Amino acid sequence: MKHGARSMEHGAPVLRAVTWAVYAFLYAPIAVLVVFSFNSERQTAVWKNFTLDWYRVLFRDELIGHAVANSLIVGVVATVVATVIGTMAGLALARHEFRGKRATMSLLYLPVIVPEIVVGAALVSLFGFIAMRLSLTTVILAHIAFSISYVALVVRARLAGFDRSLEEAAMDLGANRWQTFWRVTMPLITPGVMAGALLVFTLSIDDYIITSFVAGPGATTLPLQIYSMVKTGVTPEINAVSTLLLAVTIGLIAAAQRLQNPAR
Amino acid sequence: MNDVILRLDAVEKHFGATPAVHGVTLEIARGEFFALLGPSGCGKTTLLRLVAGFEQPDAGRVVLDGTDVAGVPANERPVNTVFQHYALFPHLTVADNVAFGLRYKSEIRNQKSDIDEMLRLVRLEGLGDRKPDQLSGGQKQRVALARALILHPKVLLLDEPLAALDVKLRKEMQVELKALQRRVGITFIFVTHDQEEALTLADRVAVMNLGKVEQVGTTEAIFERPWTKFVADFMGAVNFFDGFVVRPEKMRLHAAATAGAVEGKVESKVYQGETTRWLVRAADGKLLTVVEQNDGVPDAVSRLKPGDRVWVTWERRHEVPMK
Repeated sequence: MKHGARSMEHGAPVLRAVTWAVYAFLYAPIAVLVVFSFNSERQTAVWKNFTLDWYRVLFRDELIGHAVANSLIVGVVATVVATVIGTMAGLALARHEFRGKRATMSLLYLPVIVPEIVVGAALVSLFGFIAMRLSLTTVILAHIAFSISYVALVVRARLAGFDRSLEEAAMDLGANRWQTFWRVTMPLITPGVMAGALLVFTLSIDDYIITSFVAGPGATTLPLQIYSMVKTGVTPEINAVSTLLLAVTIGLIAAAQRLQNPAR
Repeated sequence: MNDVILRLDAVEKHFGATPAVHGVTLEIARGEFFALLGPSGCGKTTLLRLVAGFEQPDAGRVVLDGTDVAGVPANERPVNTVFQHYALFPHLTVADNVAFGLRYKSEIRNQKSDIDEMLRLVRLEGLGDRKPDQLSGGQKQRVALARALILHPKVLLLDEPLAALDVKLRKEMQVELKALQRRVGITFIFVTHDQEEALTLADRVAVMNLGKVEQVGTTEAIFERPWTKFVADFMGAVNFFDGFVVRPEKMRLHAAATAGAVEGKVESKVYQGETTRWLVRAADGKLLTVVEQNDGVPDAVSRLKPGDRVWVTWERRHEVPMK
């Protein structure tokens, strides 16, 4: 025991160094991106002075403004619709026995596993098949399609630990099924539903691959806009918009995790 | 019984092929404290759920205060339940838990004073703003009681009401529950697997086994005059002979030969504080259980050790006839 403890102590500096190296590898590019979004030099490789100019440029950029608006429309509509449908699916899966339940579950997992490139290609051929013109609507539909699974899975997990006697107690005290759902079931699964919704918004706001397949003219979302700007060279403006996107995403993920583990 | 609040008439309930409740007929009087006693899986909880309305019988009738409640859902029955693990709503305060059912009962007015009075009745005054996870086990139990009693049910159903509490608290709650039942005068029907709890709380007991009622009677009748081997065994009368049974505490041990005694050898002795529990192997191979009071003064019997010869006697009047 003592011997083991000592050898761990000997290994500690090495372990620490490796750990820092891994973190550097993971986060150095992001750190560079964030730092250079505040660089007054247009040349992205040289640091000069601190400035918020690029953020000002950003807010005046009509193309980016349009893309942000599109992303928000898609994100909000997809989140609302996918959360409602996904919650109902999660409830059905957790609560009811029905024919084809196993198959339904497997099908629900599928969008989480299937490569996005495949989903994108499949959707674009589907829209072609039903002669639906690519537009912002097709983007919204695509985002709803790949988001429902995530909500259903999160809600179902939340319901797995749900004490059914709480609902029986509500009925016993005079509430009908509907009243029981709104006064007992829903308040108790709300953290799971909200976590699912935030997850969906996060996935939607930074999806590139699927969106690139199904976006019609004028339906450019923020990730598509950033990518098209990068093609003509990385500018501090791109760093700035990416930094904002990063901040929003981290904030949403943190909120979602907070909701799922309210213990702290 | 002239004032029957609940009548079960040949009630049947099957889950798949297995009968959970089989041909149960019972009458429970208004104001009675009634126990459904039996081992796990005997159907006692299913019977309670049939009365609550969480299950519907496959056959037979459940008649509540003169009305057949077949098909009436749980939320429309004038019956309330205290759940085994209380099932308090974790997102609501104590006061809101207690008030939960009031909004579905239009005839009850003046809710605020009702809630305060009910919290006082179960000694929870001042705790109305707490959340359930800030309460002790005994307090949760009392919230569950208050939440049900405030609706003035015709029958209060309690599913293993004290099973989740530790021993000391359980004893206290037994006394409290009994006093509360007397004060509110509502019929209590509770389910338990603990024969001592049934004897302590109930006026009458139905002992259940394999979905059937084996015997219904006063606690004394169930304890002293069991009808079936199962009831006798369940109530701890374990010394079975041809045609009768004798309770262990009615038997006496002797260290020397005694007229009419059954001779045997001490197999084991277990000191239990107030009593000592002896297992004696009779000459014919039968194992007898004898419970002797401890009086703290060592004598020839208390000094006996496993392997020693011993003589067991009992009085004829303590033999309970049994097929």
